[in-house]
Amino acid sequence: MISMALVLAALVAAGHLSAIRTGPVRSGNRQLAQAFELTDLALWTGARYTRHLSQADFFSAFQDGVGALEHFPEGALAPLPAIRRPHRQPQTTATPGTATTALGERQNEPAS
Amino acid sequence: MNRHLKILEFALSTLMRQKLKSLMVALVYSFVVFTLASILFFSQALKKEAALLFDRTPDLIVQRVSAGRHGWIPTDYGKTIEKIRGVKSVSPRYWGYYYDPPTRSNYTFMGADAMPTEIRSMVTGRFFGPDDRWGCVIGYGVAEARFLEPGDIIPVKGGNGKLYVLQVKGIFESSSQLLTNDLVVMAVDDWRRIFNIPEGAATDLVTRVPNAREVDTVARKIQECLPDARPISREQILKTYDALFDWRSGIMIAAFAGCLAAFAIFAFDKAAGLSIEERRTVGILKAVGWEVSHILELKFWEGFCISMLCFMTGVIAAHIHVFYLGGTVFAPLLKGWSTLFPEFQLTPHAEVLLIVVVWFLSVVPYMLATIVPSWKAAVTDPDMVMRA
Repeated sequence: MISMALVLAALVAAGHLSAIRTGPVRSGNRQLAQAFELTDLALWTGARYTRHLSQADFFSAFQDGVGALEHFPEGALAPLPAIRRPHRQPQTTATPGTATTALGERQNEPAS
Repeated sequence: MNRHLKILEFALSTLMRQKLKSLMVALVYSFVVFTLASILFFSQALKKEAALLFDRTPDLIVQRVSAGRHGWIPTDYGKTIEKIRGVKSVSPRYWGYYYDPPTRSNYTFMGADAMPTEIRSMVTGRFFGPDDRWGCVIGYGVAEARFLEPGDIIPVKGGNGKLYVLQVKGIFESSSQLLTNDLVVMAVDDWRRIFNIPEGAATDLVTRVPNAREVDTVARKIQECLPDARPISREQILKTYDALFDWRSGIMIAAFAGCLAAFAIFAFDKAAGLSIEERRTVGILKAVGWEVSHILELKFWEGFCISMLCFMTGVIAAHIHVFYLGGTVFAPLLKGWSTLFPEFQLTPHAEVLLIVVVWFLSVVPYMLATIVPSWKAAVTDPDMVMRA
């Protein structure tokens, strides 16, 4: 058991050293991300919402096929969007043909 | 001291007497520890890697939402954004996706006119200059998929149906695969021609806000000035990756939940009571003069030896699996349907803390499950224990 503890300690130390050793690679990658203004990891290239997770428009429905809510396994593993309830706002009296720019303020749409 | 060593020796001989049972327990226990530690090491390493790489990403990315989805943004929007107090500069980003039928993979095509000198060492070959029409720098994954080297060509079908031929000037180093694996960087004009994008349109706008505390206010003002704009802050990008890997590790744990449940049932079974054999042993030990503390110490050593042995086996195996073998067990789950999956080496982050977490989750419950029923048996009359 002592020998196993020593092996584990050696592995942890080696891991720490490898983290230090990969420092220059990481700093190069950081410069690359900065130079090209990259925002996402190139891990999942199957769909645009998995390639650029942070830039994806999760609010658009049927991004990759009508009827297919989700067919990429890696997409199924992406986190669920948090459910947000909108703040209750007073009802406006907007009617069809008018556009409300701000609460209570209305402007007429040009006649088509 | 001698007494403790003798009790330890007796505990080890007890375990050795029940070889098959101890072996089965050790196998299941080690596998549970291995699974748990692998998931924690893997997700923590990726999460930390993403956080370290993207700590200098743009403060704000402004997209345009058109008919409910991401659309091209007019570069004129930049002039409006630049007028907002707190904004240092605004520059367009040009990127899009290209499906390559021969390799059945998606590439990210990016338009850039200059490459900073500090990253030239990360490119084999060279970057294209202003005079190199249709030159490009490609990611290592693209080069591997299409067997390309500097000087080779890639035919690309443009948005207008014409075929464009890009010449590979350089290839990003394999060490940058995590970021550039599917990238094809070319001049902005060439990018426009391929995708048939009009002048004055970009994919999104990078907005630099020197004061981090002003980012949210600037984002709100952008939305007020440009109602169809969608600002994404660096904080949101980092949070996305944090949530992603937390979610993924949760999914992986859920996938192994059956195994964890089996182990929990096994530990509960042990905690619920001793077997007849074990009760008899406790009774005999008490009858020959062992005290309650001696029996508890014996059971402590038994539990300690087996749990520490399995804990260390599992953690060592997990470390080798994640940091030396690239997490082969999880790779299919992680890769999904990506045809261009980067090869990268993970490095441990906060590993000692994670080891302590795994120890608390695996060793402590097992030790309690071993000692509590032994204490119950040890405080009972030996005659009753043996007759029970």
